[in-house]
Amino acid sequence: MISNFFVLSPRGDTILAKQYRVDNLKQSAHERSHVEALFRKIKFWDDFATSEAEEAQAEKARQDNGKMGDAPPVFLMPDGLTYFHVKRNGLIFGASTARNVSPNTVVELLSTIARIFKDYCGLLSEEALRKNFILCYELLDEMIDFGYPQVTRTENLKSFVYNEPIVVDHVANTGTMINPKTASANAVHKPVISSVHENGRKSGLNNNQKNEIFVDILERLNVLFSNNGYVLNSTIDGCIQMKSYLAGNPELRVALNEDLSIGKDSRYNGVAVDDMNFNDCVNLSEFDSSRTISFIPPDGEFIVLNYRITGEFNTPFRIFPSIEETEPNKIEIVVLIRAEMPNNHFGANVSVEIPVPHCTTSASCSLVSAPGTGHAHAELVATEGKIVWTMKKFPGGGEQTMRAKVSLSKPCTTAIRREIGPINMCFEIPMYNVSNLQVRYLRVAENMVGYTPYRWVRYVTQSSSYVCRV
Amino acid sequence: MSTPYAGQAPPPPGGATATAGVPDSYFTESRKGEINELRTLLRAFATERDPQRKRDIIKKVIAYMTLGIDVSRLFSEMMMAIETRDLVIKKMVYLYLTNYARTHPDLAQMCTNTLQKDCGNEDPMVRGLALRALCGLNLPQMVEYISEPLRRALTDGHAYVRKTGVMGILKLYHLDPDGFHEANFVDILYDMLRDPDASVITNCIIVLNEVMQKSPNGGMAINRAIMLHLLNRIHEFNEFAKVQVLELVPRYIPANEDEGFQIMNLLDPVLRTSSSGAVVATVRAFLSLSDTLDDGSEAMKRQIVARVKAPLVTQISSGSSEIMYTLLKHVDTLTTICPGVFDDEYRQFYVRYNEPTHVKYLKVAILPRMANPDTAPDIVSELAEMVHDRNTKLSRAAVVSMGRIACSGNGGAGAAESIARRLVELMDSGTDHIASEAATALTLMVRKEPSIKTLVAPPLVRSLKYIAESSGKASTIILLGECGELVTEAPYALEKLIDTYDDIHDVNIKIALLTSTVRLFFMRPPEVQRMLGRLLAVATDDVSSQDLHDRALMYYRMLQSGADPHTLERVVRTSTVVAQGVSFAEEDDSELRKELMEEFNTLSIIYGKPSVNFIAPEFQVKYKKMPDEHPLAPGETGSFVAPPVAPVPAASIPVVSNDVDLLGFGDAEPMAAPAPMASNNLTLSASASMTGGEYQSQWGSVSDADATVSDVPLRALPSSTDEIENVLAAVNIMTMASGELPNEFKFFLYAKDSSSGATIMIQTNVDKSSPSDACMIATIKIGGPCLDPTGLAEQVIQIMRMQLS
Repeated sequence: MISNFFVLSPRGDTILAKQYRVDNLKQSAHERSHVEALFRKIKFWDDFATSEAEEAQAEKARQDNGKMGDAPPVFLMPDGLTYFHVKRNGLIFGASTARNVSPNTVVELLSTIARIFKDYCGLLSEEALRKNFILCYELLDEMIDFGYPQVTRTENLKSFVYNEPIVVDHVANTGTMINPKTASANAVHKPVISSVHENGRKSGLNNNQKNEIFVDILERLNVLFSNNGYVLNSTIDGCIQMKSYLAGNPELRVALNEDLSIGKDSRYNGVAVDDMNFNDCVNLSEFDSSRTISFIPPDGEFIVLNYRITGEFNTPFRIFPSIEETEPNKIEIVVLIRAEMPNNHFGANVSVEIPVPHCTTSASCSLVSAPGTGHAHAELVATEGKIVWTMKKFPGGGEQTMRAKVSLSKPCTTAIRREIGPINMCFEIPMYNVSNLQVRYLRVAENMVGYTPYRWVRYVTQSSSYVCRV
Repeated sequence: MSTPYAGQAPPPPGGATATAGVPDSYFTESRKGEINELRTLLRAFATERDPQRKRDIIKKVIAYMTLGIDVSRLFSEMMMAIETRDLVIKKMVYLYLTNYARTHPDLAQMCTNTLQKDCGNEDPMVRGLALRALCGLNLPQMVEYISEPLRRALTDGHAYVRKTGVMGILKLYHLDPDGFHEANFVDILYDMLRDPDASVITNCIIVLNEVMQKSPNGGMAINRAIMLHLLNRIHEFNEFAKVQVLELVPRYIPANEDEGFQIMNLLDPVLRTSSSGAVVATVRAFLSLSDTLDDGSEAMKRQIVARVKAPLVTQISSGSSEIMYTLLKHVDTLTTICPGVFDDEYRQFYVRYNEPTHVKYLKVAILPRMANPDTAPDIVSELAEMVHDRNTKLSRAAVVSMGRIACSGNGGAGAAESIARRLVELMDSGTDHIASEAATALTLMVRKEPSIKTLVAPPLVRSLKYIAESSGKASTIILLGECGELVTEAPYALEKLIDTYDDIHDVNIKIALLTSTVRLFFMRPPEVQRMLGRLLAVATDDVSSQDLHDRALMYYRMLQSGADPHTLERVVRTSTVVAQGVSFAEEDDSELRKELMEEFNTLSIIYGKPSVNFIAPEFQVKYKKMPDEHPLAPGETGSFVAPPVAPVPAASIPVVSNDVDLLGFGDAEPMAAPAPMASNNLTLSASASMTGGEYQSQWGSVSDADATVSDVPLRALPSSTDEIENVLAAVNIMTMASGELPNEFKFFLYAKDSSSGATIMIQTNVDKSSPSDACMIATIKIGGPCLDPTGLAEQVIQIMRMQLS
């Protein structure tokens, strides 16, 4: 199915590489250079490069945007092979093939490999993979044979793996997080098998043997406001994600809201989701009657279920922008944001980006903050052409205002005005979820005396695309 | 080659204790030195007592290897380390071995003994590892050493070894295809499909599919028993293995409609899983089954697409951006075969702020397909917002999509007009790329909705001045030609361009100018006559483009020839209006779409072209639906059982017993069963007669695509043509002509169905080259009145089989 597999660092160095097939005799000699070519192609992907006639446009866009766009995860390279890649934590997991494979399956395979590396190394970073490369090869050998996926579940791999992971300290991510679902407290940054520290000492056994399970109810919000505060589009992409360190893999039962209904047409008072899907391991026999699911949790991080809600819900923040031309060469942008969740909750790491016209020369920003707001700051980032406004903490029920006086190098026209916006907001609201979907209980199915696992349940609401038009 | 890596060498993994404090220069110094150092370390390996330090030494060698440094000179030293009980070390040495075996075949051969010995180790893990290493050496001269351990592995008690062994067969196949076929592994693999372990079965499917890729079946041969067996166990397979099984379904023809529905019910729970690969494979299986259900009706397809819609949309919203991209491509294809089904989910396809650009472009391209009178206003205003995005490619795409909605006519009454208003405004907005794209979109729209010309006309002259981009300029000129009656200044706007003809460099502008001027000429001859003359004069002299030159010459000659100028008028003023609901001829891609549907869930969907265009011939696989016929009477040995929601252990499904004969190898009573049910109701007329001319013309009138081809095994090779003719004449199959060639017999046969009166024409040939398994290949065409030609043909085949086999 796949001909080779490789992991590239954010700088393009090969961290791991394995060749399964020699599909192209010319290729084997220069295998490395092809991976390099691929890296360049990904890094400097050019959305306009598809036809020569558009060269001029490309040139212009290059000046306008700086960045040319993002490389799709699947494309043909000049050597006639199809290359796949997924980016995780700045690392590039790639594979190539000469056959007409199922693209979904290969992309999923690469994502699975990345996840398993993370489960075993504790976290996914260049350093972690370099330190544990023998372990990674060992895993890879069991996961893929001759290009075909074999064992792809964390717990099944355990019995084949003999190396111990070397734990590296959690460092700042080397790149942007592609999948916000991986964000987690440090507690879950430990490998699924017993490990050694860098100095060769065994890590405390009890540390790994601790019976605990982490449950995250994660909701990512996609909201689009019109300039008068009306919600144009709103969806929630939610999931329940777990990471289990439970000894003996006991069966677990998770109960969700009893009034949960599934399907677009069923709008009752309770929680209504459009659709839901489940991990392979989940037993749904009681789901229809009592909204209870049971499963034997696989090791490592896994998603128990995904769900999707469209339609009205209470948006946690409302954005009210206004733009005024004060003088021919000056505009004033005022953005008011109101937090509409209860006041015992707060938004953390809030950032608001307001793109300003190309011809902006300077901007002075002033803030009016509600009491209880953490450190707040707003300024023009000229290189990106936007005003960036950040707040450490945004208390519920509060209101924040940012007033920016923007000077332009030429008189403001409608075309220039159109360059302002849309306003994008990023935030995270701990211990709060918009949909009200809840885990009523999580318990071990069999009654085992003295078996008391630690259960950590978190609710997190994150912005995925929280945008207001101006 | 490895220099770029050396500079930024990471601390050698695992060797942190040993190399701590060694500066970076460690790597850039002479290679020889460090290899010698490793060699000394390896020599000390045997005497080293601490297992951890032993591991560290080997690890270091591997670290250099993965950095691209050639450590193959340590081969013999490394081989000394293979004799160890420490599996970590063993695995590392195997890794080293497989990496360098190809470049050092003679050295690699030295360790075959050890590997062969390990294949008999009491630990199944070691047996499996050794076998994998042995097969992975990739040395043709090793084949003789591999076969024996491989055979033993296939009957090993441990599933891990069996699974590795099955994969080993595939490796052997690639090393030595000829030897492979002699070794009869294929039959063993078919037998192993009954293995209790799902991972062994999966590998069998994989291997069979690959080794039989070039067989007429295009992969593993499947029949009802195999499908029954695999699908009833589908819930035991892991996500990737499921895909392997699911990919067999499109190649399978269910025995009847009920069976098709049973399979769909059985697979339905897969749609609820979170594995996108399995979900899309299921979608393909469903679509393929629908061809055989309800006569492949459109309604059936729509029902299926409606069923898979929610799961697909959930996958899209919960997956990573990469999964999103591949899934959107597939949804794109689904919206073209079943327009309208996805309409109510259109908001899911709105572009989000943080998405990668390739996902954004795709979404903008999909959105127009979801337009109906209810959704169109929302979609259009969303696209209109995107027009002002900073990403110019996205804003162009948004304009194009708005035009698409107008041209499709799906937006309901007034949609085209309101879109036209927006586009006209954009054309007049002064932003070059947007104005240009809007003009191009409008040229298409006036062909669909000539009524919008009144909206388009007013700003044209102004836009012509402002739009700098050549494609936009050309489009504006075309629009001026279209709306010539409505724009008073049109000739003068064009005249300015004609006067500066030499400054125009883009051919498309020149051609547009020529076309529009000629069209204008017939609308307003007195104003345009002179400038047309000037334009023709320069254009016929212009050699920069053949097309332009020839066109100008043609116009010139037609005008000059003195013939009725209305001839030319008829040529240039042909209505280009295309009726609503009819796609532009240049956009009609139904052929391509059909081909793409055949290759759903492959790269073809991503690239939007059939696989022949990008897959090397040796890797192309053709899809053949199987089996041609169903020897088992329905319900005879089992049925597809839709399981309860939860996976059920195999034992509780009564129909799968371990002695199901999957291929009918054993003497198979089921195989013998077929004939009776078929031939009973067919009676052939004893008085059929036909002339040669009739025969030929009737044969020719039925297309080859409608012919049924089948084979009839013969008891023995006939000695003469009479032998066959006499036997068939007994059942009223007559002979038109027959002949004997050096290597084959040919027969032209015919018969008449006495109930319907249809004529049955059969052309057959018998290959004389293999007397042991003589077989007749028959091509059957049915002429005249017949409701079910294929059914009739099959019945005839049954009769022939009864007579000849």
